Amino acid sequence: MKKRTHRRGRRPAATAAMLLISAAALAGCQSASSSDGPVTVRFAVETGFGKTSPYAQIIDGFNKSNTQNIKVELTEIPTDSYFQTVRTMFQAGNAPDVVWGSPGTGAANALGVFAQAGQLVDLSKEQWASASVPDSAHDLYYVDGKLIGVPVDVAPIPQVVNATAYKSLHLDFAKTYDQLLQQCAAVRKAGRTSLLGLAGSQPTNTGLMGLELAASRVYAKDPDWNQKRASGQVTFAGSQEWRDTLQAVVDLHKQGCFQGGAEGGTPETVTPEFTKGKILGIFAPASIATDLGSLAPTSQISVAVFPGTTERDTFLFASPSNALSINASSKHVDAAKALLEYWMQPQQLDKFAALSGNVSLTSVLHGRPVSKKYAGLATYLTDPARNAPLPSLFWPNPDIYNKLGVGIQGLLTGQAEVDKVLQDMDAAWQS
Amino acid sequence: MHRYTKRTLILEILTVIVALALMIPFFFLVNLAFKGDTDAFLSPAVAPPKPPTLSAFADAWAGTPTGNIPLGLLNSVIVTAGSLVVLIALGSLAAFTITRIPGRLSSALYVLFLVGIILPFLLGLVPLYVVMRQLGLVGTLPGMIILYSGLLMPLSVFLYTGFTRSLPREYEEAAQVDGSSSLQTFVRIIFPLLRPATGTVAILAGLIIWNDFFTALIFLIGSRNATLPVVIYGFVGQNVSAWNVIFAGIILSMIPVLLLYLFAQRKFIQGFAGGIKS
Amino acid sequence: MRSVAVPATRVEVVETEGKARRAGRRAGGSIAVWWWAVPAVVLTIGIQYLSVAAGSVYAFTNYRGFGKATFVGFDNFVKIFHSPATTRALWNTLLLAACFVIFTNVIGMALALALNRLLKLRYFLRVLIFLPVVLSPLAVAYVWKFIFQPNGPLNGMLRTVGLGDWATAWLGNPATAFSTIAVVVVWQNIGLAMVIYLAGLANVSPELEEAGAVDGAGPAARLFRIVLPLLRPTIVIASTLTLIQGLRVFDQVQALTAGGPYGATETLSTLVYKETFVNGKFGYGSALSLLLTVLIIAAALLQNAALRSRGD
Repeated sequence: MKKRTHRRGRRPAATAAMLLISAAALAGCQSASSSDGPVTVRFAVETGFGKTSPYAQIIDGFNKSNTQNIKVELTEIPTDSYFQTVRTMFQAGNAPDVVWGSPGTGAANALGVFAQAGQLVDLSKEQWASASVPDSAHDLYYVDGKLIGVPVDVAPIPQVVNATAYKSLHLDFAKTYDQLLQQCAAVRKAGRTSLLGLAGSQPTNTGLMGLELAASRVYAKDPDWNQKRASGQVTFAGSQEWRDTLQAVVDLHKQGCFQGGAEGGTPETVTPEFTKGKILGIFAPASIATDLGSLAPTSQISVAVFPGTTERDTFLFASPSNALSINASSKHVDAAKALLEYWMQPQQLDKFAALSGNVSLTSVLHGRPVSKKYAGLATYLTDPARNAPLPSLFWPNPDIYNKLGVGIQGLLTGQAEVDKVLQDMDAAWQS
Repeated sequence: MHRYTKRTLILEILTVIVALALMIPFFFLVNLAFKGDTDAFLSPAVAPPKPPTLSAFADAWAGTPTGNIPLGLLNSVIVTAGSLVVLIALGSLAAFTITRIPGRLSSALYVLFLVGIILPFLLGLVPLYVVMRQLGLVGTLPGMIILYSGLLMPLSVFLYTGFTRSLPREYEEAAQVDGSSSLQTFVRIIFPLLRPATGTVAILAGLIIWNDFFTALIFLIGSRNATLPVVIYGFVGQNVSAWNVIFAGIILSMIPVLLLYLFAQRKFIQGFAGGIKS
Repeated sequence: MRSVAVPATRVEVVETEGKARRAGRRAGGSIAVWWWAVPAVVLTIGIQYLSVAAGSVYAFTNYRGFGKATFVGFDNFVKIFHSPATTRALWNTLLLAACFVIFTNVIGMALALALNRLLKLRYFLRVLIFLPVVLSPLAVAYVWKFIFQPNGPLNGMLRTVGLGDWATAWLGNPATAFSTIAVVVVWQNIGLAMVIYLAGLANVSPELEEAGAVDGAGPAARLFRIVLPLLRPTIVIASTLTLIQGLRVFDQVQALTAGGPYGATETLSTLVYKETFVNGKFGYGSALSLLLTVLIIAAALLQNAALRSRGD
């Protein structure tokens, strides 16, 4: 599910954010007229989820504290059209000075696309920048030897679970996939909707589930699978691991692990059932646990790793997937660098992670303990052999991930076969 | 046969049922918008709000960072009104001219406008964005007015020519004798005669501009000048599953058109029929 | 962008020429001055023609949004007809347009016939039925999306009346998603068709029908022998208009399913959007867009032929 949620009871905060943004915009207009006035840096990020954007708060701190008279102006763009808007701006030479996105080339908001076109500033000479990139994400952040941006946090992709509902059914989080299948029946028998909730009408959600199933089946077994695919040694359709992954989707569906009508599910249909405890878990970035928790004051919303085929090969995806890059044609590259350098300070990184609901980069870089709510994931987060960035980020284009998500829709509705879906993904890799 | 018979009554009842069935979506729209947050969350969609509340409307009016509905309303009004002024002024002049001055050029221009109506604008989007950006017009209200004026000028000219073609020449001849200048004659004598066509242009083009989502999304997103459909889009994105607030926002966005429609429904309906017949 | 009025192309051209010539003979000079047309022409050429011409060039390149565009000839078009996804979208587009034309016109005409005369509430009902036409397709689509949710009111009602077996994920089930979208699109445009037919019916004099009744023709016979033949020009106009509109439906599909599940509701419009603006394949997307235009122009020409063959 997309990591958005609604905003009950946060209206004052939203209004405040609005005022803040308009005030920043006004300040920007004024500054543009005088030449020796403050420098205005334009900063684009996708829409926050109702509450004040965590980005706005760091920017606010920077605006107040910097001594170089730099004003950063935040623009929020709705999620669904974020990338197309920013790309159109880049094409027209109108892009913001600092751009948010995902590193690599495989995400729908991939910054790598701009980097390949030479549109992003190379940060490899900046010590604060190169020191901020975790080793596992090196290939995402370096394009032709150039460092294309810096990460701001680490986003774990577990299942988000309603712990209260688990407790009331006397269930523990499944440790293996087989246990999980058994729980599906138990949950149904107990009169709940389903163990797992799926927003099946959204390829982003079905695709995310596909990746979580691939974690133990493909990437725990062969961490270099993506490199092999890139060099043509393996294909999706030709690998038993991927076939097993998609077969696992079919099995989950057959065993009644999803809510009825899952193929047409939307966040709007799944969220209420989940917060009421009728659905026990959803596939989502960990950061939305906090948001969902505020929707369900009577339930404890928590995170749990999605079980692998065995306890040993259970594997967690956690990606430094929120990245900031500087537009190469920006007139204020130095000011933009000053902002990012400020951001990469440990206390700012910790503050940002607390606001975004993700894991602080300092835990991954310097081994600082993870926050309490991620205690259940700590074993995975701190062991480099048991976590890696989301593999789809490394893929050469976003259509492959889209084909995975759409293909899983087809598996659920019976429109597609496992092999056909994998062939589609291979075809998308080539195009 | 033009008496009100039993059969007519049955027909009347049947038609009322059909019409009511067609209104079902509006029932849900209104019903849910008047529910409070927990009421909307828990009660079935068909259950009446208990008690009816305006809280969802207040939430919608207060808006979200990317979904400022009052500002969107204002922007939409400015863009629609501004574009209509251009479309009506330039469209009526052009239509009058190409139907009055005989010759191949006129016919060629007429075809130019006709083809303009079905050109796939999507194809030209990126080149247009680049040029508008260089002129500093992206994300601005004047930019949108110029854009919509160009996009809908063919429609405007087409609708006007249907009317100017059948306009008798006696009026202008009489006016010319008066000795006023050509443009003055047009403004004082001809333009008022074109009023039915002006009404049709205002309604058809006005609705297209008011409801346009895609162009506005590309050209206005991220600016403070977003029009209503873009605002609603951002607003819905931030209110996932708060259907009562979403619906209240949708109702707010519909109010201006609804009011106009209710006060001038005959003009609206004639406008559409007239635009198509001409 | 949704264009509501689409012209009766060919006939209009012929008429202008004829009238202009006649007018030229009849009266000498008009007050009209050439330059009056210039601003409108400049705007149209500048905003529409130049940009579309520039964009069309992409259709013959592999432009990806950045950097160099290489000329690839007709490769994109070859790809279009070799891609199952695209041919399916093409098929869906035609099917959706066909369903749209048939249902919008039949229902719209039926309502027009019912609301033409006699009914006491006819003015009120016309206003009600026309209402969806003026509302934003995007906003209305959100309401429908709510109604069609798996746990939404439609399924709720079905379960209440004991038809729980019929309940399904309307927009997620490939067997129902397409028809569900068709329902929404037809619903929004019934009022428009009705109004066109009402305008056409205004030209059918009650006396003619009266005469038919005197001759002993029943209501059905009167409809088929008297009213429908007289409505023929209106039918041609309304069906062409709806055909062209049906071929370009975008907002509702994008808002309801975005082409899913697994491409079951993908149309050329949504595919153009996806390939061009989501996948960044400007060349391929432009080629698709050209194809869609050709379809629409073909539809306009078809109407043209139909009109000419009737000779009115």
